[in-house]
Amino acid sequence: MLNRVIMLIDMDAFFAQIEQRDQPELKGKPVLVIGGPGKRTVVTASSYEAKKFGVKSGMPLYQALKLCPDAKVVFGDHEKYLNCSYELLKIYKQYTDLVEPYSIDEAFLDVTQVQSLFGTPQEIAQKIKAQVRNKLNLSCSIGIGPNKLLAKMVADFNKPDGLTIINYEDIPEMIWPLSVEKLFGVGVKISQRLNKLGINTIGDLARYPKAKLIDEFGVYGAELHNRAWGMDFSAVDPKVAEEISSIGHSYTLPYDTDELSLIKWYLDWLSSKVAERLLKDKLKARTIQLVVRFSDFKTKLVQVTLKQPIETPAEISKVAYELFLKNFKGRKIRLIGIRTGNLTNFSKQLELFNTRSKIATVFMLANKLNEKYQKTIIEPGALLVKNKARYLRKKVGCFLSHHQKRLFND
Amino acid sequence: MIFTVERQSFLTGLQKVANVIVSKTTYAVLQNVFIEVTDKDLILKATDLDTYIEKRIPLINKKKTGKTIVSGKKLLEAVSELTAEEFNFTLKANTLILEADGSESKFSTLDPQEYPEMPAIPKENEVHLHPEVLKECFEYTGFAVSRKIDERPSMGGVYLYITPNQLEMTATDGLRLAHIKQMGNFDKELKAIIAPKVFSLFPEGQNEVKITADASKIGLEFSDTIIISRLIEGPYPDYKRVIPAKYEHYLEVPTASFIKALRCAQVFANPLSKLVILELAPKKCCIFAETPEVGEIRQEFPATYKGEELKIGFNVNLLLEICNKINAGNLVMEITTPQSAVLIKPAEENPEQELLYLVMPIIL
Repeated sequence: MLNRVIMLIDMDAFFAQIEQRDQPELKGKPVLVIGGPGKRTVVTASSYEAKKFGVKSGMPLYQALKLCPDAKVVFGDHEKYLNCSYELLKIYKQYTDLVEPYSIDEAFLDVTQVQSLFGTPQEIAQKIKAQVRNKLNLSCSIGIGPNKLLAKMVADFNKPDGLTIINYEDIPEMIWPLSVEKLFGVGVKISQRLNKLGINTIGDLARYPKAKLIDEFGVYGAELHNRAWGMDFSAVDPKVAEEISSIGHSYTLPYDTDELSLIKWYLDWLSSKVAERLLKDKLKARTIQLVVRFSDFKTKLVQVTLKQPIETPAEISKVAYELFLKNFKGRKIRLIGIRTGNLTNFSKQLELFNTRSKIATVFMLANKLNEKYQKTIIEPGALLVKNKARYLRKKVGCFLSHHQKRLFND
Repeated sequence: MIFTVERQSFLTGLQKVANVIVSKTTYAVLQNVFIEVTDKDLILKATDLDTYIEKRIPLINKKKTGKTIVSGKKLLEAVSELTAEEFNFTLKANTLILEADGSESKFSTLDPQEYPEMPAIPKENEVHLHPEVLKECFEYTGFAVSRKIDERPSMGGVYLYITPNQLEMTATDGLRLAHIKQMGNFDKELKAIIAPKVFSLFPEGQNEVKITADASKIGLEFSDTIIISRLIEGPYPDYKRVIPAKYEHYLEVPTASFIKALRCAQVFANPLSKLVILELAPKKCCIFAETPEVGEIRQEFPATYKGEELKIGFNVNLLLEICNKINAGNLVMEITTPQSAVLIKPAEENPEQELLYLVMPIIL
């Protein structure tokens, strides 16, 4: 494992950059990409111009607009971002098989073995950057290091359009002066605990006795210490993307509600989204989970495992609605989500007749039509009832990692 | 209601009738059997609302007519334990009293008016048959009926198709198919998808059954038993379309040794997929199965094989169920491709009876 060359390619303000590319009038202006309308919506991405004002992803829109009143607000188009992400992966794969999508806009590449083909790591990075710019008219930042941890950490160094290379000998100079919360895998909670121990920079952490860290954090203490020294032996694993363990979808309601017909409608809609993805991945689900967040922000999850795997929106919605009635009837909720687990492939056992239920066949055909026309032209009648809610559902909130995984396998 | 009945005839009658009773039902009255004493004989009835059975049992002695309903399973359990030659029943108010072996059992009863009325027997499409013909055909095909009736209800029944000179019975669950054609003189025409339960209700030792059917139900009349069953709604899948007309590869094996080889392979087959692989070549035929945690088996079996070298996968359970139904010394497998239906039949042809099975492979 000596002398590995790992790259992390990270798109610069991905969603906002795509919107600026597609709507030239937004170029050079602060842009906020949001999920849906309403007071409660949050900023899913912001352009560099907006970031300068202190806007961060996940900030409620009204707060972002206070910081940056002139910002242009744009509804996100998740399909577009996913397609773009897919195109990016295609480019990366021209250089190496070892591509591990890390999120919708980040991917690890192991280029150790391909230097004789494409040149030095720096040359490879420049080729990729040029290709991304020429083909997609987008910019990215690349971190290059001897492992995933260091590549990921230095990718942020010269954003946007950056290219940073780090070697083990550069760690004291480049990594140790950073505050400890910048260390990959350290969140707010952990960094507060570290600060209490007098550890403020990554260098402090590296110099802190490992045994004491283990006393304080258990096994994770040893891991923290290793990371502070830039150690990470994990491989770039393209298979990470292949194993799909669950598929889900959730939605923050426009207002808190306990109205059953409305909740039923959202469950129908979420089910159709989930079923669409199950179908694309040729999967059926045996476990159905219902996630509900109440007005007080407490979140609960209930689940049921069925004897027979299911696949159609009607089946999924029915199970989820039953779970809701059984557990949460009468309580006001602000977020609702469905996840499916225990996924199994369609059997390789061949069948004499087309034994899929009629509704499953109808659903499959509807899906094909929607795909062909690139928009929803057919959907279950139940979803047509609430026009208002239909309008509200241009929301991006879904589990990105899975989407990414799916695209990678298409 | 006061009557005396012979033990054996009451017990066998009650056993047949109780077969209809379902243990899980939201309609509690269906857990009961209906008992009626008429001037002529004793009548037992039961239903699950899809199938109705009515059985007449001769009485040794009748003092008073009447009717009642009583828990079928409990009555059956109780009389099975008694060894007396005769049972004496008396209905007093709401209690049915059974006296035998010097014991006195009392059963709570319900109002017989609560019990669902038996529908009228259909009058159309009358066909007369020997019940053994139907039973034999069901014996060869019934196992292939689908258990997942929610997905495709029509596959939950056997398809009976009678024409003037032949009787066909077909069953399939979409993965395998069983089909039998029995030559005979039937005079009439009849098509029906019948619940498999019906065949378990046939009384023993009968010479004739009169079958009638209308659009929604079938009636079967024996000398002492009437069965009326709701027909399963069609359309039945177009099974003739999936029976291959020609084949590329021909395999003939001694049935008993092939079954033995399959059983050995079953031990090593993956517990989920049940996959076994037939490796066929003109000089050597093997069966292979493996499960990483268990191990693997490759077993040669005696066979005559005509065709190119071929590997084909099956669910071993589906294959065994079919092979176990073949009585002939040798069986034949006709294979077109490893991805299409394989036809299995006895090697010897029988002009009176044509039997064939289809099974779908597993893609390797």
